Amino acid sequence: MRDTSYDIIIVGSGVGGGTVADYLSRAGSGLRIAIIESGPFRKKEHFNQREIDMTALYYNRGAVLSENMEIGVAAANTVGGSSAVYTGVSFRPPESVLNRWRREFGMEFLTAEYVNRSLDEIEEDLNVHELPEREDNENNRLFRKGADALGIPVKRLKINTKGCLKQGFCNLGCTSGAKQGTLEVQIPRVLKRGVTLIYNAVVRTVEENAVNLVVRKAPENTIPNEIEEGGHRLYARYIILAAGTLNTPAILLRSAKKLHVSNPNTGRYLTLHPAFNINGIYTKTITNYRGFPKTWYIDAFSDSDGFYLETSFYFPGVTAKNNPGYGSMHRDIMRCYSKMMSILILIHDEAEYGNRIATDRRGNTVIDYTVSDSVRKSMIRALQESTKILFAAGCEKALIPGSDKTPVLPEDVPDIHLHIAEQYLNLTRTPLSSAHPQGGARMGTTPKHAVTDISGKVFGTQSIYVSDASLFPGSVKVNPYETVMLLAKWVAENVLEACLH
Amino acid sequence: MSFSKAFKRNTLLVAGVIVPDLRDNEALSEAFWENFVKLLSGLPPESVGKLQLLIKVVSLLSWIYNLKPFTALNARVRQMYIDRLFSLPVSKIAGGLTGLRSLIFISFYGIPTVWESINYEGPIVNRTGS
Repeated sequence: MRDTSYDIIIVGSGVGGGTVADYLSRAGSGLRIAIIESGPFRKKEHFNQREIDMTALYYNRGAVLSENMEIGVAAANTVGGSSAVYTGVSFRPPESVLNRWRREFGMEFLTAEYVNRSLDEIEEDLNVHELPEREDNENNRLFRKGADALGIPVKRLKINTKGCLKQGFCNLGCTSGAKQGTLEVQIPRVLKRGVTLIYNAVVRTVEENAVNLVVRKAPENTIPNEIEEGGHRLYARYIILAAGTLNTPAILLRSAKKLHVSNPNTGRYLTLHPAFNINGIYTKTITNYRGFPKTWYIDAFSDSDGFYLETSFYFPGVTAKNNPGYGSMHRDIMRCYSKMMSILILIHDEAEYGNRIATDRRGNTVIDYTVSDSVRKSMIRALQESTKILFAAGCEKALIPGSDKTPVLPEDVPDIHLHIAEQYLNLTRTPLSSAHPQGGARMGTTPKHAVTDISGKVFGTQSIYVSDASLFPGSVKVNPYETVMLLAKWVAENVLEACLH
Repeated sequence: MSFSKAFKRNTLLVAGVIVPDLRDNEALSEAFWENFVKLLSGLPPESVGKLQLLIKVVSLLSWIYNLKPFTALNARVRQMYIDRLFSLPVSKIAGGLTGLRSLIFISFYGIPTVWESINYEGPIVNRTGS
């Protein structure tokens, strides 16, 4: 490489990395910045809306399984990170979560004034807005109808699109570039400012002021590498790890000896926001794979039972996976694909020391996560309530994991607690999924309880910062990208301050 | 990426239990296999190795549970055998089969000729695969 020395190297080009690069490269900073991304560089022209091809956007084709195989984590491995495959659902962190982070973890910078000012600016930049109800597809209309019939209050989701064509393929990459994720907003912006982007580049370890990486061959139909394949060592005054919860803690663990840092909290306090996506079969064709997938949510059960419900809809392969069983019964279910109504269940999980990102003997990421009893209880409650919503919306069958029968029928509702119960929940046969891994390099005031200090700098290091969801000291309980951006802005301000002094 | 004939044959037999339409349909099986190999080519080598081991275990356990090779089981017995494996308390086998089930579904429902049977109109953009 011609220039292997930078002021700042950012590891990861997703929401955390893209945002921190954006703030650090703004006019006048004059900083030489490089972003290193482990995935290939694909733009909207490379997305083809086919599951069989586009699962390549994810690590492990969309499911990195926990060691006990009870949960599969979907995390993107492409320039833009998970913003390339999220739906663009935009939540501010709940006030109760911020209160706890301020009170218990010393994150006092998260004042209402700082949070609101920062997120006002971010939301304006990303065109965060509510879709007009007249544009809802049937899945969203039915969700509202079902909730209304049961007297459950629904709320409108905010999304970050601009000129959305409502094709319905957000999770396979947006072919029109309407989704205002990092791939469309921050990455093009920072490249124009002269930031270097190195892709297909896996960071194995970091040291003070140095990053060790391997550039791999670019996969077919992606943008070719601009630097030679093989091992590289790059230098920088500051290194910001923004490789996501599956990777940032793993890089720190692999680098522990080189950094002379041994913090037992590294990788710990992992939360996964466990999810089930369940389907009901409506009485007629409703074609929910078209249109914007998500416009409504329910938070009425958040405090009492620990879950959110959101609208959602997926493609045939993922839908088949989410439906129970296999064989001829499953085939008959899938023949009703175009009649399916779908609900996404998101469970709040507590940050526990035993749940962690670890590394195997080759240094690869291992997810060591046990679904707690309280998550299982919340899951059953959520499955019961979701089933009621499906039937109140007019579905004639419901396909529910954790039930004693497939399908569940409307006449089962009075005894729903008997049919959907913990004893029927077998997570080995019906694994949970996760798209919101958080924690593993939590922020706090002391290395006794945290991995980074309040500025985002890794305890015991001089030049290593973290800027992604692994900073979260506990689950943010909502779709996390706005919170990641908020913390990335804060970390950028601290790194900038350090650069100036 | 290439696999042994035994791995392909045994995987297709398991896939035929998960998706009955694959049984005795050579054209569909070949389209399925093409997609399945494409999926595996995107997995880390360790995951592919575990999957190959799982298929080997399924094949070997057939001698214990059925006193016959897996390839010699008729469709009904093969289904009962796979049902039994899914219910084993050994999480590595049941969990591995569940992971394999997901790959089978994504491979099968990734075949454009299958979409009509589920009233799925497919992608809107007309581009070739990556």
